[in-house]
Formats: sequence, structure tokens, C-alpha cells
Amino acid sequence: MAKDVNEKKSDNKTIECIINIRTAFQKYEIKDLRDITKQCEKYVLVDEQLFFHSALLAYILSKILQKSRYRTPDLYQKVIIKLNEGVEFAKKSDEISLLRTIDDLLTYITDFDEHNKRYIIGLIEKGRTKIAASLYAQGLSLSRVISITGAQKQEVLNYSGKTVMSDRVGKTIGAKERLKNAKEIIE
Amino acid sequence: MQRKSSNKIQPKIGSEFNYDTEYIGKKKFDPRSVVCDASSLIALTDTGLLGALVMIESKMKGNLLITKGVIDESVNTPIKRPEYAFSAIRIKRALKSGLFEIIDYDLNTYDRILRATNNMFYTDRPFHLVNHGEAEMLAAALDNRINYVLMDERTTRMLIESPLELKKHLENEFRIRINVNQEFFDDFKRLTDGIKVIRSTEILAIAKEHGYFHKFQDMEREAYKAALYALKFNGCSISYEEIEELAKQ
Repeated sequence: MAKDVNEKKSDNKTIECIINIRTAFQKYEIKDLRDITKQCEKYVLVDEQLFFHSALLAYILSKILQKSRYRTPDLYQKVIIKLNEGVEFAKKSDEISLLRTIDDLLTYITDFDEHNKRYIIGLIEKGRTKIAASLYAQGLSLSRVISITGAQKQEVLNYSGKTVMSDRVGKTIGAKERLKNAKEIIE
Repeated sequence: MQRKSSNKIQPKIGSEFNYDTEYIGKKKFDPRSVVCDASSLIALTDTGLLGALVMIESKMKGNLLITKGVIDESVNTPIKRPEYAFSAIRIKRALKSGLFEIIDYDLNTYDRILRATNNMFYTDRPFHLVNHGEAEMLAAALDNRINYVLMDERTTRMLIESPLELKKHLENEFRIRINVNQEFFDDFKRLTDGIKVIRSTEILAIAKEHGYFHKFQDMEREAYKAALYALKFNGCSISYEEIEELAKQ
């Protein structure tokens, strides 16, 4: 059965995404991995699970390249093997296997992080928060981004509060009028 | 996809709030009651300003209302994590003391809100903007004929107050042209006509007028302004400009 145009576009984006992640990681291109995270965020509404996990993976790999404690041959080799597998699955449009591969890799990194972490909040959770906050700033609701990313609401509110998202967009009713409305509850 | 916790050992800190035994049941509420969202409760608790809400509640004509979903989001889920447990316990204490009344909603209203919000904007597919938490809160407000919602979250507030501005923002962020499904757009507008959104910062402003910051004596004004900023930095969607305006009140 012929795929519709939108499905084909999504497949192409998926292949491009995972190949770019692999290339950037192999070349130690931290900035490129960050850019890929942002690009994948834009596609989250096309395919939530796939592009969220790709965004998370790109973000985590950018962090791994930055920290010397993560630069071990075992971890590096595991990442490359899994990324190669992921590329093959993407080329076959096997989304389920691709997601499983990304999940395996994130699980491996989580376990690795448990033995080496410096903060209560692990690398993966930090990634979830960052992406959730970004999607919230872009206009999705808080519970929507929590449902996509699995981040903690408190962490997302805390993170977003320290950005200028509400200064850029969100001024609707003036402060005086809003306060006047609020005072109606005690009149 | 299994999500692993970042901590291998999770110390048990608190227990969940059992709303099934505490649920009041259907009751008529004064329309000047306020339905509370988790975002505001979390911001007020994390900044140590829940007392401002307690003060306001004592002066209100109506009640502070809360849904089971908001209890789950602000108490039962975070109470299991040591980094959030104390905040959750503070809200649980407020619940047990009767600060809030628990309310319910009709699933038909809830479905209608989700359908309207998640279909009003579309490209080659509908833009799924809103989820359970916000839809539940709005459904509870509508079904109980309450006109006021306490909510620090930005997207739902903009959907109620300025949906086309939200649309423009989404277009800029996702770099796509978004279409409006007029039927769902008008339905949501009809549903939320008359709903007024209050933020935790406005609660604080009213509390200030009633002497909440008197305890700071000669530092009263500074404390008030600093508290407004604290709410902003804990997720209340208010701009610096609006804070300056409120600080002048």
C-alpha cells in the first residue's frame, strides 16, 4: 500500500535526524547535537514519541561529550553501535525498533549515570525537563508537555520561571484589570 | 517506554491524600468561588506563600475548589519524591484542614473542552495543545458554574483570553502556517465566556492590601515585590513589566 505524503515526509525526517545524531556524535560536534535537539522539538507534533526521544537522545549525547567522566571507550562504543542500529531501522521505516533502540541506549546511559552522577536529578531527567520547558515556551500546555516528556511538573515550572518566556509572550489583560477581576472574589 | 527513576532508593516520605474518603459530593458553590490549578498551588507552596491564599480564603464569599486530578498533581505524585515531598505535604495539610473543597465534573464537558482546544488549530493535522490537567480544571469550573480559575500556566490562560495571539506565537515558534477550525474555536469561546483567570501574583497583591506583609514592618514594600518575583521565578507566567505594575498598587 502506498504511503501517504505525510508519512513519507515523517520517515525522511526520522532518517535525517538519526543520521545527523550519529554524525554529530562521531565528530564530537556538541553544538550540532544541540541544534538537532531543537529541530526534533519542532517535529514533536508530527510524531510525539519518536521526535521527543530523538531530541532527548541528542541532548543527552551533547552532555556526554561535554563531561570527561562520561568519555569512556565502553560508553562511546555502545552509543555508536546503537546509533548504527537506529539508522538501519530508520531506513527500513521500522519506528518501533528504532524507538526500542533509543530506549535501550537511554537505559544504558541512565545506569552509567547512576554510578557517576553529581546531582540528585540525573542526566535523563534533566533532559526531559529541558525539552518540556522548551515545548511549553513554544506554546504547548504544561500538562501536555508533561505527558509527552515524562518530566516533573515542579521542575518544569521552576526551569520555565527562570526564562523570559512570559516576557516574550503572554501579556493579555493588563495588570490593573486582572487585579480588579481578582478582587471580585472577596467583594 | 519505561522511564527509570533517577534515584535507585526512594525514601518513603509521605502518604497520598485519600480523596475518596474526603470527597464532599455535589454541592452548590457561590459563583465567586475559585477553582485552583496545580501550577498556582505549587508556586505558592514552593515560595512559602500559601499563607496568602489562606488569608484570602477567609475573606472570600465563595470557596477554594480543587479537583482530584489537581490533588494527584500537587500532592499524591510529588509526595513520593524527596525533593518535592515537603511542598506536597504542605498542600496536603491545607487539604486536611479544609482550606479546599473537592469538586467533580461531567465527563461530557471534559471531552468537549479537549475536543475544542485540540482541534481549533490545525495544519495537516490538529494541534494537540492541552491535556487532562487543564481540561479537567475548566470542566470543573463550568459544571459548577464558577467564573474564577486560579492558574499560573500560560497556554490555557492565553486560549481563554487571547487565542489568536497564541496561534501567532505557535506559528512563529514552529515556523508553519496554522489554520483555525471556526466551529471548535467558537465552541471553546462560548464555553469559557465569563471565565476570569487569576494568578498567584494577584492573590498575593490582594493579600498585601489586607496586611499580609505587615509583619515585615519597614520592609513591607520590598518583601511584597520580592515575593512577586519569587512567584515568577517559580513558574507563574507574569512578565517583569506586570510585576512592576502590581508592585505600584
